[in-house]
Amino acid sequence: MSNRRRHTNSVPASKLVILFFAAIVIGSVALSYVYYKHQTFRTGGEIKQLEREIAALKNQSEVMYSRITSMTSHPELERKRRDGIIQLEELAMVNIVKLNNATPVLEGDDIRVVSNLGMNP
Amino acid sequence: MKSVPKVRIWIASSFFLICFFFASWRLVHLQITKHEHFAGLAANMHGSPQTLPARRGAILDVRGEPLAMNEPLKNIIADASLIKAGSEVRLAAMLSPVVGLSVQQLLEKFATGKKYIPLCKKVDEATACELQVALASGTLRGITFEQDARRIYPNGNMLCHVLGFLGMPEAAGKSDTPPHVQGVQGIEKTMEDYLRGYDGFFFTERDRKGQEIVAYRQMEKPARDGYNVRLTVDMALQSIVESELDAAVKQYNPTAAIIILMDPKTGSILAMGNRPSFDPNALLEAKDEQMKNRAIIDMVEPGSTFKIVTAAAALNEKTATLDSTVFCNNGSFAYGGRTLRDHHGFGNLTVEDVLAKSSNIGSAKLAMGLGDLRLYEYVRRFGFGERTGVFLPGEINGTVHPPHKWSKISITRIPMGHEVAVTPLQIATAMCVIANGGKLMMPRIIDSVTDAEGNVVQQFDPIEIRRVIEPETAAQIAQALKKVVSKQGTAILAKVPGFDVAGKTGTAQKVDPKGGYTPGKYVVSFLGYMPVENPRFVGLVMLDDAKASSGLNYGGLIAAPIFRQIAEKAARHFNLEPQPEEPDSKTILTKSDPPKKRR
Repeated sequence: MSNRRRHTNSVPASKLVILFFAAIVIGSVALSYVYYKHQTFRTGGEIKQLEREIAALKNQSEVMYSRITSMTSHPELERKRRDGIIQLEELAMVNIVKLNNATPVLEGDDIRVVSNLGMNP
Repeated sequence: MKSVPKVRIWIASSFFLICFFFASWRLVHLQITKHEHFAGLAANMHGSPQTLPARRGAILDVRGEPLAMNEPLKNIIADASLIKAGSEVRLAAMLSPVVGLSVQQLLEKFATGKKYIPLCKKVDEATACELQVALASGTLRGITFEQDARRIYPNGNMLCHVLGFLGMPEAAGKSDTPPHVQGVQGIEKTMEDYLRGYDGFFFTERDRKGQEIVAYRQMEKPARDGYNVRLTVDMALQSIVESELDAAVKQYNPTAAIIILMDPKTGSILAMGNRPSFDPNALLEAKDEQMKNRAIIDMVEPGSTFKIVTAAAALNEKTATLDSTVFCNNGSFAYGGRTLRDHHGFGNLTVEDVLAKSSNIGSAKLAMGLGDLRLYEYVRRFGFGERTGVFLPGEINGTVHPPHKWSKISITRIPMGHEVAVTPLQIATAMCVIANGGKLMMPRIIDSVTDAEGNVVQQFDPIEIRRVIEPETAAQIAQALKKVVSKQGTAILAKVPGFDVAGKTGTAQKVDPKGGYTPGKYVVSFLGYMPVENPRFVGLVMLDDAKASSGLNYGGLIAAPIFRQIAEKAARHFNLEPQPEEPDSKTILTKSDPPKKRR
């Protein structure tokens, strides 16, 4: 028996556990790194796509703005008026409403014009 | 026997130690000392700098209406190293109708293997977008689109001399860097530093398909778009001026015509028009003569409009009052061996009437009362003989000779606007002195510089150069100029119903470049402002060699009615309320009114 026991290999369970966890940690870190890298590239691609779209929208907006400006420029409007595409309509005075200036907001000790109407006995 | 292995061990150890030391030293040298050098080499091999183009700023009128702006365009570039083998023909067939090259020509270009092959420039945005989509759907690669832009001027000829245009700098091609278009005339030139913006850049790496790897971007510096420049010009007024210029050219066919409107209180230029003109959108068709901004680069003898300076000087120096009488020698005054004549034989005239009737002899006598030095001093104080400082390129000084260069008769000729050469803008600025109570204001054409969000980067406030005359003197001259635009004066045709107008006519014989004057050719002008009590604008109308019959070629008959047309429309624009006219001051113009004599 003693001879047989002497030839039995003992299993170092604790070391195996440590190695197992170490492998898991290293594997996880490696996978995370790969995942992170992948995400970085994917986000980069999305950023690029967004940049393209923004640039295209900005360009389209600018093209539209320049076209609108050209179509509403003074010479163009004058041409359209001459060609009868648009016409000027005279406004009768009765249709013009003139708004009074807003009462200015005074601050501090500024003197304000007031009405004494109705205050006198 | 034991000592031999020990020695060998020592030798071997030392050898390996020395090798290890050198290897370590080399690594440290490569990784630390030479880090930047090798990092740069690596970046050059895998990465490339990418330019972020800046947009040029816009030019706006005082209300924000765009006068010069950009239309985005694309340049189509091929990178032959990225084109997939076997796809060349398909790619060439797709590109051919867009870039205007045959399939064969495109294939020859691809065969060069170059990384940068410009195929087509200035392709419009919509076409470029369609092509991009088609390339993506056909999984074709090797084509890139560079951002570019075209400068457009939506109003064509209007305000063209002020706005200017873009072009290649003169030094283009001499330096290694690719040339950028830049302003070569007008506001485009003077405000180049504000308008141009600064390109940004970033370093990036690309994969084997030529696609950018965004994660490896480095040293990103965003582009700074050019600032917008807001002018003091009001396009509503400019439109009025341009239509009157067109009408004047049609009616009189002058060699040149100039109209300037200014705000006398701030010196702001509200409108500035010239004929002949050009379309900055079609520069190749424009001739040099059409590109001149004559308001600042043409010298003219101002003629009778210059009498304002003489009268103002005399009143300010108190050598005369408005009611002082001047004997006008019945129309013929011999001085310095020459005879100075008036168009009418006047006897005694008040100073007010000297201006109203535009007497040459009266003006000469006022100047003689002042003396050479004081007259010269006032001419200079009114801003003649020096640049006004307006933010436009190519402005000239004009010519005002100092008294020691004057001839004996200069004192009688300069007061009526001879022997001096001035620019139209100088004349208009001088009238602003009368209209604003005696201050010489610097003509101002830039209101402010703003960024893309509309935040003011720089404000260009009005600048008072100097006080020229006292406010009382200015008021007296204004009173006399009001009389000019009446039945007693020379410019009744400038009268605007319901408003008091002050002004002065001018009719000067054209100077012959060979010397003397060209017979039968005149520069006619009218310089005025309105309303007299609270002037909103000063206007100058000047026509060079108007084709009118000799009996009608006068400032009061040609330029004054043009001023009136402009003033009427401008009054509506400014919402000025006309005042009911007094019955005795009502003016009835009939065809039977005799034409005024030359003034």
